[in-house]
Amino acid sequence: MSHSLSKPLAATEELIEGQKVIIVARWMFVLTMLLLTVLAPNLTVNRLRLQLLGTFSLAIFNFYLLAQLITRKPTLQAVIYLASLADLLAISFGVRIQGGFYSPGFVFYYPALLVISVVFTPTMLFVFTSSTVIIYALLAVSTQIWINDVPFLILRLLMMVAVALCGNHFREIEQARRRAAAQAAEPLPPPPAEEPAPLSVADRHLTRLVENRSLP
Amino acid sequence: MKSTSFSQEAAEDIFFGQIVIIWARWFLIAAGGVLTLLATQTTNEVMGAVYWMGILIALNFFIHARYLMGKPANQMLLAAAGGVDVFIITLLVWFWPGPTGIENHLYILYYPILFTFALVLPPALTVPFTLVTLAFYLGMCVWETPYILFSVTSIKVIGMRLVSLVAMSGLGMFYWRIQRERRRASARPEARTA
Repeated sequence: MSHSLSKPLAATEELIEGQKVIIVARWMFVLTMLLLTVLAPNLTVNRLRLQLLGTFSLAIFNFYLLAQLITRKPTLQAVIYLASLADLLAISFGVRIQGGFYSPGFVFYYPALLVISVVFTPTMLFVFTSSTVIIYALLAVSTQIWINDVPFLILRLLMMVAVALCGNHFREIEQARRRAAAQAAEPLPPPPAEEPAPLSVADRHLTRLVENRSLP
Repeated sequence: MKSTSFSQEAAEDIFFGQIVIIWARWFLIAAGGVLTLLATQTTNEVMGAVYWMGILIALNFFIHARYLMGKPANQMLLAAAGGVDVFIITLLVWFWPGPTGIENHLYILYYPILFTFALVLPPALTVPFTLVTLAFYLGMCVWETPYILFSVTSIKVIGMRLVSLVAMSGLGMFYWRIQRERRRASARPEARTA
C-alpha cells in the first residue's frame, strides 16, 4: 500500500524492489568482462590480474546481494549505494587503464546509470550522475584528446544525462500510476450513519397520542 | 473481461510512458545541435545536419504537442517514430564526415533511444526493434570497415558495444515487467492487506 507510506519508506521499498535490476545488470557486466578478458586479453599481465581481481570481487559481492534477495533478507540501503558506487569506480578504473577517452569500456557507464536512474531517488541520482559525468570528463581530458574529439566527448556526457533523466522520469510516472491503482482498489468507506431529524411540535403531539392509545 | 483490462493496461503504458521517449528524442536533437555547432567544417556539413535535425524536430514536436493536448500517439506511431530515430542515427554513423564504421563515435546516440523504447513498449515489439537496430549497426560497421572481422581487438570493441546496447534494452524490459507486476499487486486489495 505504497500510497499510504511516508516518502522515505516508499523510497526504501523502491530501492529494495529495484535491487533486482541492479543485480541483473551487474551479472551482465561481470560476464561480459570475463568473456572479453578470456577471449581477447590485450593487456599486460599485471593489469590483467588487476582486472580479474576487480571482476571476481564484483561477482562475489553480487552473489552476496543475490543471496540476500533470494532469502528475503533486507539489505542495508548504504550497502546498495556502496555497491553501485563500486560499479561506477570499476568502470572508471577500466576506462583509465584502457586509455581514457579512447577506451571502448566507457559504454558500460550507460547500463550502470540506467539501473541507478530507475532505482534511486532523484537526489541520489543527481549525486551519482554528476559524479560519473565529472569523473569521466576528467579521465577523458587527462588523456591526450584531439580537439576534434571534444564534441564527441560532450555527446557521450549528454547521453549519460539523457539516460539518467529519462529513467528517473519513468520511475516517477510508474510510482504515480501505482499509487493511483492502489487508491482505485481501496474499498469505499461506509456512509456515515444519519441522525434522525428533530421532530416538529405537531409530530411530537401525534407520537404522544399514538403511544397513549391502548391497543384492542 | 481480463483481456480487456490487459489491453487497457497496455494502452495506459503507452499513454503515460511516451513522454520519456519524447524526452530521449529531444536529447538526440540537442546532440545534433552540439554536432552542428562544434563538429562541422563546411556549409554542406551544416546543411546536412539541419536536414536530419529538421525531420526529428518536426516529428517530435508533433508527438509532444499531441501528448500535451491529451491525444498521445498510439503504439504504431511510437514504434514508427522509433524506427525513424534508428534509421537517422545509422545514416549519421555511416555518412558523418570523418571516421566511419566502427571508428565513428555517433553510435552512442542509440543508447537512450533503445532504453526508452524498452521502458514504454511491450517486449513483443522491443525485441525485434533491438535486433533490427543491432543488425543495422553491425551491418553498417562490417560494410564500411570489413577489417573488423579479422581483428581480435575490433571484435572485442564491437562486442562491448553490442552487449551494452542489448543490456540497455534488456534491463529496460526487465524493469517494465517488474513495474507491471507491482502495479497489478497494488490494484489487488487482498494482496495489499495480506
